[in-house]
Amino acid sequence: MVVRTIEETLKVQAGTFVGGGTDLMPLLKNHARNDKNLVFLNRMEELKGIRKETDYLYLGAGETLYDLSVHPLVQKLAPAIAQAAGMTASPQIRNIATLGGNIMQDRRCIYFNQSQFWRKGLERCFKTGGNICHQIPNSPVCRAIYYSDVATALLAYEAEVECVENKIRSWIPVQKLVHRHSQVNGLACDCHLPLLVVRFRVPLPAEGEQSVFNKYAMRSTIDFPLINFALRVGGDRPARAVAGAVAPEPVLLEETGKLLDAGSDTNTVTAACEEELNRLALPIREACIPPAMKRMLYQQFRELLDVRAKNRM
Amino acid sequence: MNEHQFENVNIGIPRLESLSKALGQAKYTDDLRLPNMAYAALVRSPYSCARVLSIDLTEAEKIPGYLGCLLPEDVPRQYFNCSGNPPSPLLIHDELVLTREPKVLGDRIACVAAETEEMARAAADAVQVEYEVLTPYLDVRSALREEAKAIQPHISEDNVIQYRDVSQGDRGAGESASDFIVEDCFSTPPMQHVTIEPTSCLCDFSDGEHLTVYSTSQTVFQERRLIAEILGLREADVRFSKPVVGGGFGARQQLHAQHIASLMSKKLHRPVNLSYTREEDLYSVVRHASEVKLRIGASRDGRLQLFDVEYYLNAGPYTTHTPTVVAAAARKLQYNVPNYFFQGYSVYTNHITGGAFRGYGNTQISFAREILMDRLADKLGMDPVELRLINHVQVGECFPCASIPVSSNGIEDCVRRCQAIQAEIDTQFPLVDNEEVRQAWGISFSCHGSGPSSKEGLSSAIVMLNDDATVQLLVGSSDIGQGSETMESQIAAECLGIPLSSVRITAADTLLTPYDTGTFGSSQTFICGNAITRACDDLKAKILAQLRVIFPEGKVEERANRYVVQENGQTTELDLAQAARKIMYDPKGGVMIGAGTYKAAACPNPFSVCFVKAEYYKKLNAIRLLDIIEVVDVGTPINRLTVAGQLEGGIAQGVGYALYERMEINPRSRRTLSSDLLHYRIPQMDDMPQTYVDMVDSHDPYGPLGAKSVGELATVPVAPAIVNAVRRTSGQEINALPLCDRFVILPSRRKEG
Amino acid sequence: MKNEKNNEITLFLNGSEQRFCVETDETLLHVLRKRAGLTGAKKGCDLGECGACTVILDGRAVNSCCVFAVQADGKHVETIEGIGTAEHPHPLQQAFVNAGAIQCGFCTPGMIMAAKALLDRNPRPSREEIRQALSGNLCRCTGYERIEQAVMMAVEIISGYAER
Repeated sequence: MVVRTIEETLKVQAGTFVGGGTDLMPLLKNHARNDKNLVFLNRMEELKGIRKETDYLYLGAGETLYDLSVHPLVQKLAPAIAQAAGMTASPQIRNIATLGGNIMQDRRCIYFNQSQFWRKGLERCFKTGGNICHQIPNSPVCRAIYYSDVATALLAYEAEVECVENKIRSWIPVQKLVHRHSQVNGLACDCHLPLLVVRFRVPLPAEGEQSVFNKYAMRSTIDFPLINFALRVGGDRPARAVAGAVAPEPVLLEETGKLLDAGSDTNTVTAACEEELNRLALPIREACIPPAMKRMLYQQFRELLDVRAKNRM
Repeated sequence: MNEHQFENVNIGIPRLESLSKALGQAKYTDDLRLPNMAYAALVRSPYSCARVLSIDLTEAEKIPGYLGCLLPEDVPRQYFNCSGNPPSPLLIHDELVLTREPKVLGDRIACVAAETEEMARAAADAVQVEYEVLTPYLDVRSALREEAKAIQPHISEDNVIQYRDVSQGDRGAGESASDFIVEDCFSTPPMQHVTIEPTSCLCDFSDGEHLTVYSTSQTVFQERRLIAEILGLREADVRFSKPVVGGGFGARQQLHAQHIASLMSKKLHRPVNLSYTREEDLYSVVRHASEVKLRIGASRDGRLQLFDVEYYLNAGPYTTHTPTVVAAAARKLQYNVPNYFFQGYSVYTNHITGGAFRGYGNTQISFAREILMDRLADKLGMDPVELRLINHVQVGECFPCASIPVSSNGIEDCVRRCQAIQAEIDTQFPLVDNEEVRQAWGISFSCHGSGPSSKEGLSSAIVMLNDDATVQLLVGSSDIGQGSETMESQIAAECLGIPLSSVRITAADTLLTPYDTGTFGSSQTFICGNAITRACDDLKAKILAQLRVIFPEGKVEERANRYVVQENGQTTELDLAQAARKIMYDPKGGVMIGAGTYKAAACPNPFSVCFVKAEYYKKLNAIRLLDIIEVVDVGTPINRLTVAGQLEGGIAQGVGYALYERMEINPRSRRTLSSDLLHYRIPQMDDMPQTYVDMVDSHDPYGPLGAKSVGELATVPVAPAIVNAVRRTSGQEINALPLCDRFVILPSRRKEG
Repeated sequence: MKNEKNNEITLFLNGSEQRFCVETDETLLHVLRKRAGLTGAKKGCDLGECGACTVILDGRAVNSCCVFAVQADGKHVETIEGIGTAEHPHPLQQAFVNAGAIQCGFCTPGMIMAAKALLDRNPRPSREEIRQALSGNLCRCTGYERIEQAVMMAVEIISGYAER
């Protein structure tokens, strides 16, 4: 069904909200998910819009990744978001995939993102309604990874999201939403958070704030990140460093952030980032990439640190 | 070379069919629609080794639009070999149309049909198959262990399909003549063709007597023969017609599912479309994974004395091409060496079935050889290029254990041209070597044949002259995207002295065109091209003979494609159009049809040199490819644009092979996990390094208008050249692909600005 | 089967208004190939990973295999069949032919549509912008070199028109 207003969405029983549909479509084709009641949001004007207001930059959940990546306000006020949106998937997918859909994307794993045919003959995993994680058979929970690039950037800004849940509209930190989504998403996939993501808000940067996003993937396009980083530094808030695609949700690098605020040198900060990720990341087997290779990429954080030089200029 | 002046060849021209492709009008197999067409889908094994205990159709029959099912007992049960090669004792029969003993992920268990493709898939998914799951052997080592069970017990007890020994000289003499011996073990992964068009067929056997097949086919005549054998038909009652095909690279040098789709068509009395999903295509066939143990010995002066190789190919559970791939690898050594020992093993496993893939055995052995040659050069303290050149086989000499001498060789020109381009690049971007980054070049040589190395290439052509001096050219060879139809038309135009626009070609339809062995072994230019030159000569001779019938008193000669008649003291000159018209409408005239066949008597070797510039990031253990140069001796390039395109495409496949392509074994599921184009990665536009390609002046005496071949040659040297460059930048010895196992791969392009 | 409910949609398909009855989970590619009879957009992977099915939806290149048909309701869809004819090919179509950018041709319609979406929005792209815009389209034959050249050639042709 196609909905046009928030009121219409409130009447939906057990539906799946569809933004651009690019994450959902392959899962449906592979019967990894079998959502029955698709609710298309692309006609909802309330999910559109990129606006600067007094304290925040507002980003509609229905905006496409392409529009976010080229919008002058986003590029100026939240450059890491524009960069992350511009590096996600392929040009064709960015043209239709939405911000809301990107944040609410399914976690991924080589045992889950397979056809129904391929998964035949393997026990059902947590994510397909079973009781095992094929990646880590003694794990009590699903270890599939959350690969969103944009979420990493949003967390670096400590962005918030406006949701409608149980007919109540409220603002919550994006980090909290992603955490809840990740937990539910590691269970049978047809269950998902019964909420509608309406829009996001990013605090406007204070004087001297710099931010940047980077992603490493094996190829330049289409591939999900092997790792991504976002960094916000300077201004009037404590620095924030986030790494994504290394665990079921983005990893906050708190110690690294403290060193950044202390003005530590590049080698020290990079070493701290590696140490934190070695502690906090939960890498799994991915196509072509063993966890050991992934760990080698933790030091890629170094690439972002040049952004600090901009402050001194 | 000035002595060879051409009008229609050695030029770069756009493909004849390319506008229809650009307009979206070209019809590929899955674009065809026949009235009353039904769709079929295969029920396949999700296990790499199992036994079917039961098949339950209850749920499938409930799917709306369900039309029927074929089970193993409903179809012919004799073994066959799906290879599109001509008949050979090497092509052992061990495959069934449908099986109850699946030996590989994706093995065919049953086939269902329905009114639409989606319904057919849903029905296939709904078929309940109960299996007894058995332990698969996914690599050569486990299949060769003593306690391993036989995968095809009626063929081999020890899982060795065939052992091949090709040798000359004396091992001991080679060892004692060598001041230095380098040796190592190398392994290469199974690589998938990833033709962008998935495999597809449309079969019409509605009347149960006459079968028409439209399919993604490289070898229409062999596939006709095979399907006639399997279905008990006579070849004259089977038509294989090739629509536009979206790539092959060897993957379509075999039957896929045309047999079962034809049987379904017979059952339903309706035409049946059976098209693979991308996932099915990925599991259908791969380039063989290899294990290569190689020793090379040389005397102090750099002369090779010993080349001793053990060569193991992972065949998967069906023989298909494997022993011929091994045989082809045995005769691809372009260096002189008196003591040469090749021991090749074709080994059954339960991994994805190995088949033909651009390079056909040459890729794997060249990988080991060219890496070890670099290590040998270091030991000898010689330049790696010069070491290769001093040992290179010259015109008149034979490759080790080969019987036909090399007939043309431009390898040195290739090297010098590569070096000139290299110097230009390094002038603009000098090699960097600092604390963080080191850049270096790596090189590789390669060769191939022009046509199947077994000399079984055979082709034919018919040229029919119209009264306006246009011609219809009929050939059996398949254009699968490499541009053979344009090239063949050019050869005909050149031989007949007419413009290319006067040639219309019909190709690869067993109802309409004469026999051709098939599109493989880089044979279209050389084998089919030679058939065309003969057909054109035949046409010209017939024109002359007919004019002599028409002018019995006169003297008739051909001079530079014009016909000169001297009669009663008068000289008349006829151009081809005038001659054609005269012949066709004269009371003593006739219809002019030239025919030619060519049985491969020669197999000239084309040569290639590849230079790669790479950089290594020391802290990150990361590599980036910067530039790739490939210069080739292909004899006369018939269409320079096509040759350049083949080189660039061959480089891209080599880049993928070197960096990240592999059908990856997943130990937990005991099957590959490379099931789509995110789990199996091929290079994208923005991943390719800068490429430079060129061809040197060359002319082979046996080639049509001097041409040799290019298709397979193009890709063979790329991966070893990349590895040699990475070895020099990183200082690490490399024995295996893909490189993403060892290094962080950085996207390749230099960013502008 | 799921989603049996039919939905009526309207597409402005290569400039002409057309109505289709579609299933809820039906793709735009399916509508084009099976209902509209337009087979120029190809099915290469059906999972949004190869770009062979690229068409232009309201001015933007999309993988039609990953677009729900109901989401395209009321939108303009341009396919390879709609941008040029044998007599008057689009400059990109002619440039792809002339540059030798076409081998097997299966990726070509998608490549050209991705390139057209780029040039419609940015008539003078840099080489890097071209490579970026076309990097979602896989080609296995050409190695991409000539495809990039073809787009550059088309840029020149189109800017020639603009100056006249």
